[in-house]
Amino acid sequence: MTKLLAFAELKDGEIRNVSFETVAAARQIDESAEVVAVVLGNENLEDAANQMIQYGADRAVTVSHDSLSNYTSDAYTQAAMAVIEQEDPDGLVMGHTSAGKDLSPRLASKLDNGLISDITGIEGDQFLRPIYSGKAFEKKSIKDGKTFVTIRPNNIAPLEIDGSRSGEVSSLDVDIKDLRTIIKDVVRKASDGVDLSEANIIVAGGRGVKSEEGFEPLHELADVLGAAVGASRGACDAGYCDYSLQIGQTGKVVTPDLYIACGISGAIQHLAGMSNSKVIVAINKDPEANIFNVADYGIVGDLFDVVPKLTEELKALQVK
Amino acid sequence: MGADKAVLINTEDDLEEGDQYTTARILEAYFEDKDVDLILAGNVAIDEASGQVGPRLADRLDMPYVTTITELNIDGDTVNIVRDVEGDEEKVETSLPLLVTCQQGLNEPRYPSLPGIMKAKKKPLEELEIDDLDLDEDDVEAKTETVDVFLPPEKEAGKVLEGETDEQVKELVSLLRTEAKVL
Ligand SMILES: Cc1cc2nc3c(=O)[nH]c(=O)nc-3n(C[C@H](O)[C@H](O)[C@H](O)COP(=O)(O)OP(=O)(O)OC[C@H]3O[C@@H](n4cnc5c(N)ncnc54)[C@H](O)[C@@H]3O)c2cc1C
Repeated sequence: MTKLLAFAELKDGEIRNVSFETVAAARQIDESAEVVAVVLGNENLEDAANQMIQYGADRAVTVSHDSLSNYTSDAYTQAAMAVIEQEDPDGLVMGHTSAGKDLSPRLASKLDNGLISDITGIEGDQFLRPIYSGKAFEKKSIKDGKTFVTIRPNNIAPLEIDGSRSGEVSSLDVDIKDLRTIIKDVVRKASDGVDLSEANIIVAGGRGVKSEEGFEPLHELADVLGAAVGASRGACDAGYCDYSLQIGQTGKVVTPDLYIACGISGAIQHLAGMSNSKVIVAINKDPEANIFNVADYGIVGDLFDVVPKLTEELKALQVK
Repeated sequence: MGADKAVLINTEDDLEEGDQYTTARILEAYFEDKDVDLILAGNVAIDEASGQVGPRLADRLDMPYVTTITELNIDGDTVNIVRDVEGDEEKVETSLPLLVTCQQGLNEPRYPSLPGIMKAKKKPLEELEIDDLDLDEDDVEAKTETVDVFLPPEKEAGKVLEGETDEQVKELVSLLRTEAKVL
């Protein structure tokens, strides 16, 4: 039987949604495969392992170690390689997250294996991925060796949770040593609240927002929608918001169900980060703005007029 | 821009299709006998956008690496780095030799000056083929294959709403609920 490893990812001890998507992706690669969840970290591993099983994994292997509390390349490589050596899988699936991007090429190199990064779809043994900033797509396959892919968050839907599903959770002891990089400190910039890369709805502001205070109406709209707030590089460069909000080629790549772009012109580097969104709304005072070319719905107008009205309209609906 | 020397490894004549494995193997062969302290790589390419080459190369050279860095301070053999982790800042300490991948914010590339452009013409540019690196095609054969490249289906022109702002907003909400079904 084919065996596939689905890697969970923990952030501050909490399991990230993309973890469940790796299980679903493994099932799409081979419906009848044995899907083994891999959980690396230093706390709550049982919990995360059981959740992976409830989301469709058959069993789970955990590695618990103090040096796995935050992601570092050396520690995670040693832990992951130990699991891979024990399990000798036919394939591996990881999230295309900051940690997944850092870890997967190194594992692929150690395994002398191909790796297909940042996939958004699976068709048999062919994997779909955007190239040229999302202007084109390619289908790739692994010639020989293990099927090894990283998945773009929010593109492959997790399976339905089944609370009654159970499976074996085993732990593996790994002697993690010779760490060459040390994390001294982590400064949280990304705002609390909804994680941009996993958000279902995003309200994003550009240079058209004009100031830090100009983001206020966007935050109010986001609150009503339960959305995350994002931004263009134009807005970040102008100092209206923190770079942690930046969406695009050099910022975050997002695929929400709904993306509301306010005062964003739609430069290709911005589109690279959001053009895969399921539904795009553009609010811009320039009818010629490129963002209207990718938008499903557009309102030509002043965002300071439109956004508060939209917030009111949605609030009124919620009251009903 | 300021480099003292450049090396161009020409693969066009020898390789049909390469992938990130191919690139990393070739770079490894080049760097193997060089005594380098620091390799600065890009974080992700604009075309293929896989972000694999830097970490793969570091692994092959058995060097530590730190990806998506936005600050770099070298003091003797000690290196202090700030890296971007999905918007958060991580402060990392490590040592040379080292490979890093560069993220927006690390620095502002200067514009080449006219004297700079003139001087560049006199700097050494070494051209190599993979033979010169004692590699042949089979050593660097891609591990993956591109089956198809295509344009996404043309998106239907979006609906630009009309009327007074109030009406547009009402229509938008109703479309998002009934047509797009995202609310
Ligand atoms: C290597 C590289 C990487 C890059 N990476 C990124 C990236 O990751 N993300 C990114 O976003 N950009 C990136 N960029 C920058 C990108 O090219 C654009 O410069 C940037 O996206 C522009 O931001 P903007 O749309 O907010 O600003 P502008 O292009 O200035 O657009 C502002 C828009 O606001 C509208 N507007 C103004 N006032 C109002 C109002 N009151 N109401 C409604 N609309 C209004 C205007 O009509 C205009 O369309 C990158 C560039 C390079 C070279």
